[in-house]
Amino acid sequence: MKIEAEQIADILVLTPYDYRIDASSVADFKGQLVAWIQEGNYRILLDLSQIDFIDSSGLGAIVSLWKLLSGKGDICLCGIREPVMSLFKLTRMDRIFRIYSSSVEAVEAMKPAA
Amino acid sequence: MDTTALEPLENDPKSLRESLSRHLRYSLGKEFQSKTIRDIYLALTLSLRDRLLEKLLETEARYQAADARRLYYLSMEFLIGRSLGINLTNLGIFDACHTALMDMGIDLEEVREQETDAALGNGGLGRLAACFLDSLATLDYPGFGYGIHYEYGLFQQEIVNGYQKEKPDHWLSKAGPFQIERTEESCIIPLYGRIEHGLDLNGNYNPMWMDWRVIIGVPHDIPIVGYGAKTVNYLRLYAAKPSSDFDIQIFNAGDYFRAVAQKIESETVSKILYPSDTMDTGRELRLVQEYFLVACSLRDIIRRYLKNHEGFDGFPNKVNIQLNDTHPALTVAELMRILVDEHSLEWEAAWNITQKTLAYTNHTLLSEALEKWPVSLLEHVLPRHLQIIYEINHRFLGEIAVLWPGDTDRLNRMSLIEEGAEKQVRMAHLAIIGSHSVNGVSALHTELIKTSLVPDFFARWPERFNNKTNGITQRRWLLKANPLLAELLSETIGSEWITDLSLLRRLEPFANDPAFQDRFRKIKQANKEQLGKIIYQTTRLKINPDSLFDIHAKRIHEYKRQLLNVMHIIHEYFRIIEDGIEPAVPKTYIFAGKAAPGYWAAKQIIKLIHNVGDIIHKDRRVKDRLKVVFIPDYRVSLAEKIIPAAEVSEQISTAGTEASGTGNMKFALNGSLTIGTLDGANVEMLEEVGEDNIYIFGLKTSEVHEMKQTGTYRPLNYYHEHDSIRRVMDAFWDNRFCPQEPGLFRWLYHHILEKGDDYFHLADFQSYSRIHETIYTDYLQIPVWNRKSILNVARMGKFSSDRTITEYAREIWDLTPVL
Repeated sequence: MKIEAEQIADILVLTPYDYRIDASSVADFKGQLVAWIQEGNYRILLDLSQIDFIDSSGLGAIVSLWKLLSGKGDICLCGIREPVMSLFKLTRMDRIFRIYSSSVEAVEAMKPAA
Repeated sequence: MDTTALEPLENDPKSLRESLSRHLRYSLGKEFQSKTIRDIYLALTLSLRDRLLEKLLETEARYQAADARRLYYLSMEFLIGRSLGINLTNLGIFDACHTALMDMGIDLEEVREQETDAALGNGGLGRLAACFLDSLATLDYPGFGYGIHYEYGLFQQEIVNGYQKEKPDHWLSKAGPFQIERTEESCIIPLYGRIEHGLDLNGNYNPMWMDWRVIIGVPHDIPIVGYGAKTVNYLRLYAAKPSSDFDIQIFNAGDYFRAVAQKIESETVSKILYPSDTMDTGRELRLVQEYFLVACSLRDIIRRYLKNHEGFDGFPNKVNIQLNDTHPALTVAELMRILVDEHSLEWEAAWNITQKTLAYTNHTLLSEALEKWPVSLLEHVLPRHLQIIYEINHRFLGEIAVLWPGDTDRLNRMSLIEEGAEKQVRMAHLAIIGSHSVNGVSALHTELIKTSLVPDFFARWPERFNNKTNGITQRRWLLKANPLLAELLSETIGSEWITDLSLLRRLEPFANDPAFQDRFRKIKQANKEQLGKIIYQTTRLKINPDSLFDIHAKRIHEYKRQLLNVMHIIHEYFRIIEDGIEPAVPKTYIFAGKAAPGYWAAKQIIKLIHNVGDIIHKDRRVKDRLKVVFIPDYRVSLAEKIIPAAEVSEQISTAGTEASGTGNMKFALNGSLTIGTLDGANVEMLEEVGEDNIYIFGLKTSEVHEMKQTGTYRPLNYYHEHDSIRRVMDAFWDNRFCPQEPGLFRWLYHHILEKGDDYFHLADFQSYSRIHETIYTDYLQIPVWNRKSILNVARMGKFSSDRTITEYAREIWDLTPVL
């Protein structure tokens, strides 16, 4: 899975370029993100704007990343399309993440207050 | 292209012929010269579908313009039967179509025989749902059915050596193209998984439903046209398909066989209709089926609502959901989950909406048929729903504890959870608590719900309980099933009865009219002769069309007491051969019905019917004065041929066991006289037709109840006191009806005499025999019999499903016709 990374201030914006995160791609997806975290990137914005569908293994991977960062960092989400958002709501995962409509809005919100 | 530019389809014979020819050529790719009768059936169905869809779109536009309140009828079963004939009738093009085909040298009846029954139901409950859809559309109500697109309907029944053999009913392979697959409206349904407990961003408890698996619900719409074709609603049936993960896994993971196995597993969900009375097998799949129906339906209902509305405050004003029995009771938990989890409503607000939206129809008094699901199974399949059910229960029991302080027995009785070695969720309780209306399906049944089945709930919410006596659609069960009688009625009193069955009362003055009686009787005779041919075709038995046709057609179940009927037949047989008493009239006893594949006793009763018939038919002393026939593979299309030929209809369930019955109504509407107990809707039929025109026998519900409570029913006493009973029971012991298989029916001897005779066969036997004697006396007085028969037709107005639906609409759904 191709994941594009962009550093904005102390925020690492990660954008997976695939239509789906599912059983066939989740290991790769999770592996790449864990590597970014292990390199010391503790403030992550996951831009899901290219994703059409995430199955429960994909959602589980995102939750495990959230747990990995728990206490030492932050992971926010943005650009979630409606079909994917409905799965976040179904699982109630929408309640544990700060979710923004776009990366611009998210980066602005994640910046420390001046 | 602007669809408004399309010319409306015409319905004259020429236009229909052109439509048919066009479909034959362009949809099926056939030249007229090389057509088969099957091709004509398909082309005709496609021609009709065009017309149905045109009206369906018009109807939906009307509902949209009115922002109509809608009724969604959720049912695991819709026993539709065949659709071609009723669609032709309701569209008002039966005659035009007949002419169009005749001009092409084709017989419409032959074409109609090409259609297979859509047997997506077991019996009364499913057929009721189908009758309701016909009435909803005829009365112009925005009412829609939601069910499962079973690949296999109820099994086909074959009889081999007197035993029922089940064959799969792959109806889809032969189904006509009335239905439309709406892939674009498919929905994702999660199942299984686990709950991850945690906190949300605000520090509140946040259970997350993780690691679920997904199946896809693909809707198939069947248009339902009302009589007069002003309204076409739909029946939406969901098929289960695997998610598109399947393809991905094949190509990416390389594990082809596992992927295929998962695909098959997903599709299994809508593979088969469960026969009733098979609660112990395949429970998990059945639970998944029930949730699949509920989840797909709610997703669709909410999607439609949110297209034109914001927020959920107005949801109950626009949406009514009727739960047909407890099978869709998970709707309570699923609607709560959607409102609370997916739309972030507060619990109280969501609960208020849920209760206002849902209504529940109870269909059974048999405690073993009240659904319960093991807590462990629910937790495995639907972990989040179990949490919600626990929360509902916690709040509900808190309320009961305040109202009845210190009454722990009451709390235990009312709890959603039944304690015990294996904790179970009581689905009827869930349905009652989550609904604003709970109805029974006959006056007696509703009283028994209040007083015996769930009296604690009645004490809590007396205003919630109400009765809606079942009904049947006269369009299928008289107009279409009995065209000769329908024509006579319309000629005599006008055709308005087709949409207002109460007008049949206009027949009463003709009940004594010899000329009318004569025509009425000749029609019955013609129907008997037609059934006689079917019996010969299916069983190779020749029956006397001048004999009295006494018919017992319904599911085979101990409570419906086919056994009592057989015992009486044996009694009559012995009277001929041992007592030398000639029967007053030659009689043909006709049975039809399926036993659930796993219901051993019911299947043995089918075998008994066959063996008794064989012995009687081979006994020359009987001289054809007694015949016993079992017509195999009872289904809607067969019922349409059996019922118009009946002269006596057996409705003889033990009092207090049949919720309503609808077969009783169908038979009486076609001029059959009922021999029945005071059970279900028989009670109201007695009120309508009058005691001179129905043959009531047996114990009343209160008497059965009393005898059960006090333990005063002792079958052995009846055995010792009555020679006739003893002779019949001894015949079971002595292998009189199974000389080749000794011991085959001894279980009946034990079952009845030693194990308590749960359904009171012996208690009612004498009374049943006596009422038969009365019937024979009356039958010989032809004008008297004719009058009774005509009055039965005339006084069946109450039992139209139009009346039932009007009551539901007015008293439960607050629904108005949209024209």
